[in-house]
Amino acid sequence: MPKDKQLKTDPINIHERRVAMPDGRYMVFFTFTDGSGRDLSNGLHGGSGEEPSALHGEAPEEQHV
Amino acid sequence: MSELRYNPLLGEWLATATHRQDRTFLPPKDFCPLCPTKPGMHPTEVPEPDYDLVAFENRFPSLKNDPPEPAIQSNGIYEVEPGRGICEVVLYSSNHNTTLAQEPVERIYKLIKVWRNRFEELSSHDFIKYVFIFENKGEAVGVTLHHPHGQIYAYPFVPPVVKKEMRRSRKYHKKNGRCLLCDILQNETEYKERIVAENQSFVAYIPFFARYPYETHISAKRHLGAITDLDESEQQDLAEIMKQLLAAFDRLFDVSFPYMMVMHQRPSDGKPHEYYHFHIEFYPPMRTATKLKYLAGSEAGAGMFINDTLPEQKAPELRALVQPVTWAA
Repeated sequence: MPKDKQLKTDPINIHERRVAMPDGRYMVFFTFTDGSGRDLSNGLHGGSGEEPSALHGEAPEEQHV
Repeated sequence: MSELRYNPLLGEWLATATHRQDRTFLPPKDFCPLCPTKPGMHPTEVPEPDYDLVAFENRFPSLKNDPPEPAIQSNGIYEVEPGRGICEVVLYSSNHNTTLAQEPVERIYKLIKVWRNRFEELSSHDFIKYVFIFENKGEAVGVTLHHPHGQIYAYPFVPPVVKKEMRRSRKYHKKNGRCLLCDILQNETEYKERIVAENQSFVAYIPFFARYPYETHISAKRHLGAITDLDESEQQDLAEIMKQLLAAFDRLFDVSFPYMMVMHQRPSDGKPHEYYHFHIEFYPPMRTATKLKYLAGSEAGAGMFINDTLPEQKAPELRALVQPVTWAA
């Protein structure tokens, strides 16, 4: 392993918010901040990527041996 | 009804989960249960108008934390247990029309943070012995919901494929004093022809023993056992090599490439298992742009896969499609 490992970006911090669902299940919402506490949620850091129309086909559904 | 039944012929547990027959199956986009609930619109499983990443207990779980007693009793030859475990769904994005391959590397980095969080929490339950992180992508591998998501099964036992890998790794380590996967990685990096991508912490390669034409493994260069062992630079390097591989998959046939992604890491039984090595395996079913690889008689009934291709010839195809990753400033 190289000794001079470089970070590609500043580390981010993960935060969780747990919600109890009416049927008893749990749901955990995650948000992220950078080192200064800046919110990195949707649209600020890592929003949606290429449009799916960039791909032209669908994988075949019928399988062939 | 969910229960665990033991196969005495193979020495393996399987789950029956009859309620899953009624789970949501390929709903129209406007009724996707994994999209956020928009004001005035059809309520989904996620009761908020937007989210970044979310994990929650599967509404149709194969295993439950509080399962009912089995409907039938064990006898002298057949063993049955309550279907106890935890099944989670991990939503990668609130955007219905995306995939992990299409998302920027920063989102994969976030997902790695979520996987670490879930691995740590699920491993903390006494009855959980193995946390299995995976993704089924594409109708070709049987997905029932197109919204970008993965799953986590927390089992009350070590599942058979991992158990077999662990047995082989332990035996090799005992005989040679070295990690089997470290030696496989050394062999692959020296041979080079089967390498798809590489960075300072990870190697992606189609292994010598690949069962599917584009079966690709991502292995950590450093010997470590679980995703929670990755340091910060390794988490970023994993995000980067995953982005490169998934994007190369999509470029291969200009389709949203279907695959099964499985994460193999040490059990959550409190033992160190220091001989075992963290890695991720991708099993894409496509063998050409129009044909899929089936699990047929030899594969399903005898356990011997027949690969119609050579890894040495398939890896260069993928390697040629790997592009540099750009991180947001």
